[in-house]
Amino acid sequence: MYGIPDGNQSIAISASKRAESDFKAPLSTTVLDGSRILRSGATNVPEALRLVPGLIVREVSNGVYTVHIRGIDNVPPLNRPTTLNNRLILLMINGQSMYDYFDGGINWSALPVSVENIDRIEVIRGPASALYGTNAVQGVIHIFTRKGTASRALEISTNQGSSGLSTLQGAMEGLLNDTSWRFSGFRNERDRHDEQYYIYADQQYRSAININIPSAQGNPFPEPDRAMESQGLSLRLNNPEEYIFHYDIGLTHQEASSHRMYLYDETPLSDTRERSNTLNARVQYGQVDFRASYQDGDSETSGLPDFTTQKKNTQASIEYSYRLPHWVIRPGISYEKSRYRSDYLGGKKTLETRSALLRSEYRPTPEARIVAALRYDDYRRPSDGYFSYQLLGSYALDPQNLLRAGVMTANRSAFMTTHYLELQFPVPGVPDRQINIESDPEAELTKGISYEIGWRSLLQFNHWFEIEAYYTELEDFSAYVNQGTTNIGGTDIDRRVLQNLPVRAKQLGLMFNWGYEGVSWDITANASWQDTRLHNQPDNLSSPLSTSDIDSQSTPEWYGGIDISWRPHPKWDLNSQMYFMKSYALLAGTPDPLYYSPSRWILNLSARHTFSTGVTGSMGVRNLSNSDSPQSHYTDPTDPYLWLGLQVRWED
Amino acid sequence: MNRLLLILTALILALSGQVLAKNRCESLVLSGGAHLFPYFFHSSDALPDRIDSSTRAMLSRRHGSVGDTVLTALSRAGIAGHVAPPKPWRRMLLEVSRGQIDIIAGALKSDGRQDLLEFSDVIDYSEFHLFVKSKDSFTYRHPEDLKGRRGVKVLGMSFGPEFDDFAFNNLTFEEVPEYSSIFRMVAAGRAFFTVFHRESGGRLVRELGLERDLIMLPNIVAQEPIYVAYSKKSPCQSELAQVRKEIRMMKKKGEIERISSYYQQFLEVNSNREPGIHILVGENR
Repeated sequence: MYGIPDGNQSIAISASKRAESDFKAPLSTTVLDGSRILRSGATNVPEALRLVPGLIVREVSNGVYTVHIRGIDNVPPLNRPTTLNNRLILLMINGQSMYDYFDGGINWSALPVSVENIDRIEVIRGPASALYGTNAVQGVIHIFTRKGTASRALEISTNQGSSGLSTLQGAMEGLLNDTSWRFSGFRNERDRHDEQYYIYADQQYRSAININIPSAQGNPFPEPDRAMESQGLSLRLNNPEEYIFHYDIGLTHQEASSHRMYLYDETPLSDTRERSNTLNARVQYGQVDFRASYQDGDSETSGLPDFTTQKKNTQASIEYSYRLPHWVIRPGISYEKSRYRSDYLGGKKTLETRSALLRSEYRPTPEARIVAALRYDDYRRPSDGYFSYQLLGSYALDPQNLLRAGVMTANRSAFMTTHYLELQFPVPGVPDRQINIESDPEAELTKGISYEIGWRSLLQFNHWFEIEAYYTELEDFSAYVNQGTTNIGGTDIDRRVLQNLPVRAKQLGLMFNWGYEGVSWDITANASWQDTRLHNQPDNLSSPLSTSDIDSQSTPEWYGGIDISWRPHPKWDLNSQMYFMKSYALLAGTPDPLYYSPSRWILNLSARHTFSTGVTGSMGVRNLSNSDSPQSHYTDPTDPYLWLGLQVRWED
Repeated sequence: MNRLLLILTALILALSGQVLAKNRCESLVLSGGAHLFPYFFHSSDALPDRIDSSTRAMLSRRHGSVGDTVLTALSRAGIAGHVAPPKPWRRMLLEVSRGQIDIIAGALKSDGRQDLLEFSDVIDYSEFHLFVKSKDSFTYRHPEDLKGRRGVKVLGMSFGPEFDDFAFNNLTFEEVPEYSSIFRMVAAGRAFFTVFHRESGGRLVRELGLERDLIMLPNIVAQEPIYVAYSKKSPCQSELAQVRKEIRMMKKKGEIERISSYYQQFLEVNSNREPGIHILVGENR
């Protein structure tokens, strides 16, 4: 009305570190609004991420997931099923990295946030290390949680369903002078559909009481019926963003336990627990942006007491935004330190990174934008520095059509199990035989480069599509390679040494995303196609390595989804979300390395009814599918479940 | 026999469609932005708070300069006009795209909207003014006065091609998503100035409780033409053609200018232009 574009645009911050329309974002970006997440009936973050194009979300156990962006990862290392977890995504909550530096990746069950407390999720597909540093190799998932509002409010919501689904969330918020506050808490529970575990050696599922896992000390599965439970508390305090001095402080506590793909070699699932306390603070003074966070926590795995780990993570950064006509220049420095203490690691170990970055954005004409960003990460382990960069260009053919192209690089960080491990242990049940595991502190870090072109078009203010094509290469994967057996002093010693693999993964992909909004309904649909080839893929992990070129089958060739929302009456909101994945074959270093997953579609249906202002009821069914076979490597089968929900909000 | 039945059914359907369309077109539906005073307002309830009760009573049967223009044209064409209840702008566009609303009384022109709407000649002009901190008040004469000063505007907002072009080459603007943020940032000293529509800007400043902190400078920064926009999907295209013809005649006779001048008395700040002021106009009058 006021001369603002009418198109279906959301505000994206993560792609340029400042607010812009997602239509104009220079990177492949999707913004998922909190209200859309709730409308879809999603009860946790990975379920919500199935609404985002280009994401592969696989269920490991009920409510426990792995998430991959575009899927050119977890392919080359063959040593353990853990490598099927994604280690190349950077997940941030309000700017704080949630990366697990012990074994790499993200524990999606232990996020200190419930879907009801999410304001929006921004997803960047493709490398973004030049913006956010290490581990943003395949992309960034950035969760923004809700802030307090000016009015005093109390909200409570719950979902109860079959398969032990139980969620409870509560929040209070208000304004104290200029400070808005929001205090929230949640608890989520899910039961496993089946109490059995797959045993690689037996090549079949067995009941928990019949399992013999040689490496376990004690009971590896004390709660075989429980898939996951998590709970958390958070407090957020902030003054208005418009102030010259703006602060935004978050305190969180979370506890979670879940069956996830983690440490055991004999069976895909491990029963893990994690606790953490976090302080995350952002202070802005004019154009200076300072952020610091501290996380203190511990984690343990049932049956593996040596793996009990205490962690302390510190992150700090300061950036300055300098504006001129045509230009925005953003220099900055950052520091990150991760300390893990564990018997498995042989005591306290530290990873430390110092970084400097410079991002510059130049607009030669109102239609054109050129972005160049360069970042240097100086690692303590390996004692090496890595440059990452972005060179992006976009051009608006007219206000309804935007073309963009870019080349981006990124690299992964070191983590404890690759750069700090020195283990010597006897082989259980085999006398005079020992396994030595030797990490390489100077192993090269996995790095990649991606080339992208994209076209976004607003056919009308309520009708849009985007198409993008990309080509990505990754190299410097590492894995523990068996060096053979040597006899020293009458003991046979198997040496497994971390080394970089010669493999080079190459992926070509296309993504199509389309949306239409009507008066009482809207629809979005997306589909991604990819082809991944592995050059010099080791045939096995024994030295000397023999290699061959293969087509990777671990990522579905096609995947995507269709989301339809219909509001037949102002008080009713009906939602149908279908997610589909073509067949894939996951490869891991196990006795039966190949797991074949058939093509499947998964349908989630939900209905919401507003009884009165602030009182909403909902119900739905999730996981209707043509296949109940496990979605990940010999993990739990998936079953449909029904749920009922109630959301109440009182406001002054 | 079957073929005869089919033809008869088709005939009945076609005739009933014509009858329905005829009934539908006896009255055209018009609407406009919820905060577009003085160009359009749905009812006297939507008038700015500062307008007193006697003026409210006076304006109770009117709908703003563009709204009155459309209703007068409809009346002259012998067509009834029905003002739709206020709706969010996006919802209104959706209804326009389905032909449920025939006319928007007061819209800025953009490439995207031209796919959906047919625009009249210029009916009126929306004025953009500077809002600065009260203690930073100065006499604005030319966009050059803003060089070296940090501005803030709503993300993607246009002030017309001439000012946009000058701003792109010479000014530093921060863009934020919320209307309220631009005024708060100026009040907090994060930006020196913001540019916004005169009437709606004044209303937002009052709603935010910033009337003591901010001042709207009287001289106009830029003007954007306001149009009557006709739905391309309306089933009543022949009636809309009559309205278009009447509006063109009203413009020729100077009647639209008279209606517009009537509303000048209700404007928040009298923007009498001082000599030498450079006004950027989106389209020549």
